Amino acid sequence: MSLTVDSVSKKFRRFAALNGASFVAPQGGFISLLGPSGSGKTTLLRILGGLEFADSGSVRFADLNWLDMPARTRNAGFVFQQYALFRHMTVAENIAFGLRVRPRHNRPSGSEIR
Amino acid sequence: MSALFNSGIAPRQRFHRPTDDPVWLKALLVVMAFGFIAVLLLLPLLLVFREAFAGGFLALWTAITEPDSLAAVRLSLMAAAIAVPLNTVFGIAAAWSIAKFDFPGKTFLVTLIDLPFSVSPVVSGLIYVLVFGMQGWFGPQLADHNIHILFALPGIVLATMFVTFPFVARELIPLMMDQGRDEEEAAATLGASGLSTFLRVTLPNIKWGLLYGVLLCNARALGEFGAVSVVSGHIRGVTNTMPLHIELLYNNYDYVGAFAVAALLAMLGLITLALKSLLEWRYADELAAMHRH
Repeated sequence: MSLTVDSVSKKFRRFAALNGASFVAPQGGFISLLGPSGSGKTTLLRILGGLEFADSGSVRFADLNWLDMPARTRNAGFVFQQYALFRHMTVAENIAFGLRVRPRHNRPSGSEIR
Repeated sequence: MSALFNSGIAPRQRFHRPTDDPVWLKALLVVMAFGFIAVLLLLPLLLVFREAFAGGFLALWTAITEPDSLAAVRLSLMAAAIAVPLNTVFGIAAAWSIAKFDFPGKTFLVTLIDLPFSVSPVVSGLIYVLVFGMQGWFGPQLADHNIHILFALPGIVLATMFVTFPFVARELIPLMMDQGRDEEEAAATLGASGLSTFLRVTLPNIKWGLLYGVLLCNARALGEFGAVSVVSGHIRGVTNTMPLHIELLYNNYDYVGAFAVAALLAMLGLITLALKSLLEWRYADELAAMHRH
């Protein structure tokens, strides 16, 4: 269950945000991406989370072609830089959101969520 | 500086905010604003109601319940009932695509949305005549299939939709742009589908702005004169909307009838205005809450 990032590239118009980024994250590993601002850390994370699309390269996670999966089926945890709270919901509703939007067959019942 | 340190002796200076204008100027501006509104907006409205009640309540009632007037009221409400929901859907779609996606021609689309505000309603009515009229592009074919657009309800609805299109979209675009895409992205990483993101995240965030836009759209739809006047054909009791019917009554020297229907139309507008103010008050509260964190 390792995560393999292989020569991922991404351009915004003519600016190359990522130019062949590659690394392997072993299972249970703890990885830090270091770099000055604008070096592509966020872009890479957004690609891994499914919020941005790579121009080229591949990502494999546990033998899944990670980049072919839509964000909502990846089940990847994502903490936003500017916290993205749902402002119209209470704290409890914010936390429960991930459970409430699951497909019916693996969604816990309303009382369980609470 | 020295005055500050030697204080106790120097008299305290009154602090002036840079935005603090003299009292006489404030009073003048406020009086001007109220005077302007009173003479140009309030007085005519009061006169409409006074004229409507001039012949007594019974005359007013008879004028409103007269079959042609009732038909006009029904037609206006029907046109609004079709045009407003459609514009709501299109407005949300336009605002959504402009605020949440990047695509070529985006600025052009925003400009296009404003078109009905800048083009005279009469011109937009004429466009429909040009397209659907007997001398127009599709007129003869439509007539062959017995489809009536001009001088019938579809034409009136189309003209109303053209004129009132910007209200919902204009209201939503700045709101949705301000809110950005973060919450939708968060919802996606948490496994929400597109529809459930829209229903649970986007819609609750825009609901007050949306309601406000819908109300303005509705007020304008009921009151639209120019564009509808061109396409309706002015068939009494059939294709006359309330504003058109008022003009017809007035031109026939039926002042009681004209002012009676005008008072009813004004009443509908005032109800919308009251609802709008209520929402504004409510909406300001929620917006403030939304911006707090």
